[in-house]
Parts: sequence; structure tokens; C-alpha cells
Amino acid sequence: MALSINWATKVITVPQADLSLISAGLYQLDVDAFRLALKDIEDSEDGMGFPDTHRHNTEVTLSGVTYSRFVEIINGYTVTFQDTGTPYTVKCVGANHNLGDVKNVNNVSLIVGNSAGLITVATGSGPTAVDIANALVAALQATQIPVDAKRMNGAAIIGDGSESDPWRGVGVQP
Amino acid sequence: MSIGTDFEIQSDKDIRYIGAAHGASGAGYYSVLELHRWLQSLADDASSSGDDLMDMSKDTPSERAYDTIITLQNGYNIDATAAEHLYGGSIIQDGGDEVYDGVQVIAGAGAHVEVIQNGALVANDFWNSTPFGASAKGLNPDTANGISQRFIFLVRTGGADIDGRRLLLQTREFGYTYSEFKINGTSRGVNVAALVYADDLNNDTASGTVAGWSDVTNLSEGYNGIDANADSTSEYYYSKWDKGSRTIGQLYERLKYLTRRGTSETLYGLNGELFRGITHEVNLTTPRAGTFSAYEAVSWAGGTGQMLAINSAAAGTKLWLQLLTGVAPTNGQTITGGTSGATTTCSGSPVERTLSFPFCGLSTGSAIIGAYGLGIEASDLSVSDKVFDLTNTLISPPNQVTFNVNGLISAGEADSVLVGPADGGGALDTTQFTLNGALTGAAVTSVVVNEAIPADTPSSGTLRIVRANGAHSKHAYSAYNAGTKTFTITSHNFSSNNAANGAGAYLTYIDKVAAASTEGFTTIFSSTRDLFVRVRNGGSSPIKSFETLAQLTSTGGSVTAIRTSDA
Repeated sequence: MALSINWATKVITVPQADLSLISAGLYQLDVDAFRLALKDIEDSEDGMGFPDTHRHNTEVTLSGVTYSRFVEIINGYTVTFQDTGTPYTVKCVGANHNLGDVKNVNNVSLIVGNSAGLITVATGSGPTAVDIANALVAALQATQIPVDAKRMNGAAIIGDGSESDPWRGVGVQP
Repeated sequence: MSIGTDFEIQSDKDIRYIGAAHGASGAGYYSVLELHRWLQSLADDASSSGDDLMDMSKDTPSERAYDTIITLQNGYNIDATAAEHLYGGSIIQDGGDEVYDGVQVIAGAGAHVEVIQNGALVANDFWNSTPFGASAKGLNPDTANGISQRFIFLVRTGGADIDGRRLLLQTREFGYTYSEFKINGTSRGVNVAALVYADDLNNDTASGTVAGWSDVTNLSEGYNGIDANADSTSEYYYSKWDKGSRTIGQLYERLKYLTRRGTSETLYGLNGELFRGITHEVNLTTPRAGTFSAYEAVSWAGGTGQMLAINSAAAGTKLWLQLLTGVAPTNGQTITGGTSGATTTCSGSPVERTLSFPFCGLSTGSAIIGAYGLGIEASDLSVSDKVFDLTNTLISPPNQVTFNVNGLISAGEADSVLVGPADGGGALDTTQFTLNGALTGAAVTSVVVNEAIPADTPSSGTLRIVRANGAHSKHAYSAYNAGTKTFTITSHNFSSNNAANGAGAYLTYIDKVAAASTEGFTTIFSSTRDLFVRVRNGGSSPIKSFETLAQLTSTGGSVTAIRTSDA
């Protein structure tokens, strides 16, 4: 049994035999080999009528460091690892990927193995400093702000505001 | 020189030319009236002198009916050489048993004129000689009046007209326009032949180059069915020319080359120089016997011809011929095949067909307007071309357009390419058709769909059908019937993986592993069609899927695959 695609359900089935046995209950999937096998199916007579199964960005070397390729299963395809009835784990190597997102649940668990380097946070769509200031002012103007006055014109304020002890500067008699 | 020095009158009454030869200094040419005047001037002399044995004691040598009709009488005569130096009328001699009639050619200066008499090319074309000191060929020209040649020509000898005194004059200079003028029996005096001799702007390739275009061939000489207008019904022609790797304009040049002056090519058993095309369409009836060849010489009482096509070799009801000598057959005459010996009977009056010059028709450079009955392979014709079948019906070829996908890799692990209908949303339209009835048989050969089959569907190709397991199986179809909406496919077993009633199906105009760097398909343009193009290669040097939308327009279309490595 080889890697196959059910074109009706868009389920990609990975047979256990296609995985490398690491230890009892632990298998390894070379994600790059996996996507190349998918490409081979895509350009076959059967596959030519259907959309791509995945998107691939190759390895990139920067400052002597080779960043791994990534593989993304797309267009509604999902992945099923062969369920043999005995639970086992698949460790993914060779690429960052989204198999965890598209894997069909069964007795097979997945060690994704993705590793992120520097990531990019989306910018440009958040509020600017001016936006924040304006919003703050608007909010302040829209409400009454409780104030606990302690000093006025540089001098401390004393008293509790009652008739017997009115607000006043230090040294001023009630 | 004068006529007196160029001619002599011998004692046996032979009047002979003794001057310089054509093209040499001093060669003399005289009108028939000048000859008569000269003879008469001698005939009243008291005694003859020099080499002219003519004086009052001799019989009257000539008589003038008109300035252009001179009769040599009492045994006086000219010979062929003397005749070559006379023009401007007729010479009648030997009691009327021998006649030279005058011919005057109206054509551009320098025209090389050929004369065909009694079905054969006249080899001694002295009239094309270039006079001494002249820059253009042609004896006795009168350029100011558009006359390129004047001469006299033997049309009666031994008391019998030569082929009824019929002459066919033609110009077939490669690079120039071709023309012909038929004198259907010369008259006494001067017979005028109007010809055309001008540059052919659509024939500007050097003769030596065209000589090498041997891939232009006539696939079948004789009666040919060709569906030139792609209406699924063949029209009939007398040829099936294949332009090979040439353009339609080059086909025109090649056909001119085959029939040019001096050619050694043979068409339908005739030397190319004599080939003219169909002159007559002859209805046939019983009695008939034997089997005619596809083309052959034929004869009947009063004429001969070259049969170029017959609609049935053994039971023909029509044949088409080029008249060579005499007149066309008449009702009830027996026509006999010169090679086959088969016979048939002419019914009614033959229809005389209009000739084209050259025989293939006219060229615009990029299109051809074919002569009557000239057949060209349907695949070699474009919408700009016109042809006429043997019923003389104008046939307009459809607009055959080609869509190409370029930039493919065909060596080693080749690219896979698929071109199908687009769905309007940027994807492949997998429901271009829906099945009318489930496909469940073990040997299915017909696929019926609910939707109309588009007019631009190729006559053969591939069809994909959505199967029960979701796969889109590919099936070659060899034909389709637009009326019944049925494709005829290669027998296929659908029993184990059905295609349900209403399941999708779609044409794949290209659906293959590339065998060349360009793959394409040709079809008849109907209206602009949106196409979806996909190129993949998942081999050892994989590429990212190339997908794009394209259009098949009235001029075809193309895309170039962008092959981006996906290693």
C-alpha cells in the first residue's frame, strides 16, 4: 500500500509502511519525501484533474544557517495515517508543516516537530499613538473622573470638607 | 536591307528568305503587303535581274484581296523560314491548301509567348526572338500600341486545317502573371491575342528556391472528397494538394512553378506547361463499359482531352477533362479512355468551365482563391481561403484555430499538461457536461450528456468522466454527434467503478505527457472560450504547478508555461 488520495473525500492516506520505525510505537515521517510523493501523484493521469494538495517553500540559507522548508496541505485535503488498531506515534521531520491541522483523528498521534525562528507580528493594522491619545481623551471627556486632591498651587491641602474642618491650606485656621 | 535583298525568287517559283538570321544584324521583317508589292514591282519588269527570277514573262506571282490577305498563285510559294520574316496578314498558297495566318499579340513588352497547336507546344518559337539592337524579345513589336509580337503562323497544310486552325497562346513566365488566349480557329488576316505579362507580386520567390519545395504534393490526382468547410460532408475536387511545410502563398508559387515555361513536371499525365485545369464537365450515361483510370487521356470523334477526374471509375455519371484538341464531345458520342480502354457515353452538352491563370487560382499572398475544382487538404486551408468544388460551389473553410502551450519539457521526465474548460471562477470546469444516464457496462462506447456539445469541440480528443470513486477518468473519443449529444469513446469497463447519472464530464483539449516543447490542439472557432491550463512535473526535478487561465479566440491562443523549481 502506497500513499494514496481519495479524490472524492480529499483524504490523503499515509500507510504505516511508508513511515520509518524509530522504536516500538514510534515512527518517523520525512515530510519532504511525503510532499514529493504527493507531487508525483499530482502529475499523474489521475491527479492532473485535481487541484494541488500542498504548497511548499524550500529551505533557505541565511548567514550560514539553513532554515527548514515548510509544507502546507491546502485546498481542503486532509491526512489520515493508517490506523492499524494499535496506537502509535508519528514524529515529523524534514520540514515545518501543518499536518497537525489537517490530520484526521484516529489512534495515531503526531509529534509535529515544527520549530519557529524569528516570527513576524502583523503591523500596520493596529492603532497609532495618536489614535490611542484621541481615544483616551474622548473617554475621559465622556465620564466623571474621581479626584483625590492633596495639593493645590504647590501647597498641601488639609481638612475634610466639613463645616467643622473645611478644605484649606496648611496653617490656615478653620 | 530591303525586301529585295533579303528575299529571292527562285526559278522553281520558290520565294525564299536569304537575309540574316533572327537576332543578327540586318535580319529583315516585312509585312505580307510589302511582299506583295515587291513581287508586283518585279512582275512588270521587262526582264528579271539578280536572284529574282520575275518579270513580265512570268506568271503573276500574287494577288491581294485585302492589304492583310495575300494569295501566292501559279506555284509561287514561301517556306517556313520565309514565313518567319513576314507579318501583318495571311499568306495563302498552293491553291489554298496551305495557309499562314497573321497573329498579333497584345501584351507587355518582352512577353515570352508560347503557342500550343494541336495539343502540343510549338517548339520553334521564333516570334520570341530578340531583334538585333532591341532590349526586349518579340519580333515586329509596336510598343506604342501595346503590341509585343507580330508574325504569321502555319494553320493549314496539305489541304487540311491543323486542329481546325485553333491556336492557344499563353504566357507562363515564373514571377509574372500567367495568361492565355484561345484563337478558336484563325481567320484570314490578322488575329489578335490579348495576353497579360506583368509582375506577379505574390510570386516573388526565386525560381531556384521554389524548385526545392518538393514537400508540396498532390496527394491524389483524380476525384477527391474533401470536407473543406467542416460540415461533416465531403465536397469533391479533382486534386488534393498538400502544402507540406509551406504557407498557402508558397503553395501558390509552387503550383506556378510546376506549370511554368520550361517545366519538366508532369501533372495528370500532361507536361506542366500544357496543363490548364478543367475546361469541360461532361455528363455521362449508358452505354458504358470497363473501368476508367483515375485520370487518363480520352478521345471521341472530333476531339481529344485529358480526363482529370471521374466520379466513378466503373459507373461514372460525370467526368471532368481538359480539352486538348478539337471540340468537346457532344450528346451521344462515345468517350474512350486511352489507357484503360473503358468507354462511356456523353449525355447532353458538356458544361464549359472557366479557367484560372495559373491553374490553381488567385493568391493574396496569405490566402488562396482556388480555381474551379482545385482541392486542397482541409487542414491546409484557413478561414481566409476560398475554394470551388466540382459543382462550382464556393466553399469557405471554417476558422481553424490552434491553441498552444509552450515552454514544456518533453525529454526524460516530461511535463504533464492539461487544458480544459474554465469554470468562470478560475478553476477547471469539471461539470462542463453531466451524464445523461449512468455508465455501468463492461464495454461502454457511447457517452450521452445532457448539455449541448459546443461547436468548437474537436472532432476527436479526450473526455474526462467523474467516477463513483471521485476520480476523473480519461477517455479518448473518436467522434461525437452534436444532435444526440453523444461521444463515441474507446470501449471501457465501467462495471466496477460506475459513473452515475448526472455525474460530471468535461473535455480536455490537451491531456497528455508532453512529447514536444509545444503541445497544442486545433479546432474550429465558434466563440471565445475560456480555458484552464495546468502544467505539472513531479519527477526528480519537480516544478511548482503552473496554472493559468487563457482564451481561445478567433486567432487561436497560447500560453507559455512558467516552470518554477519546486525542489
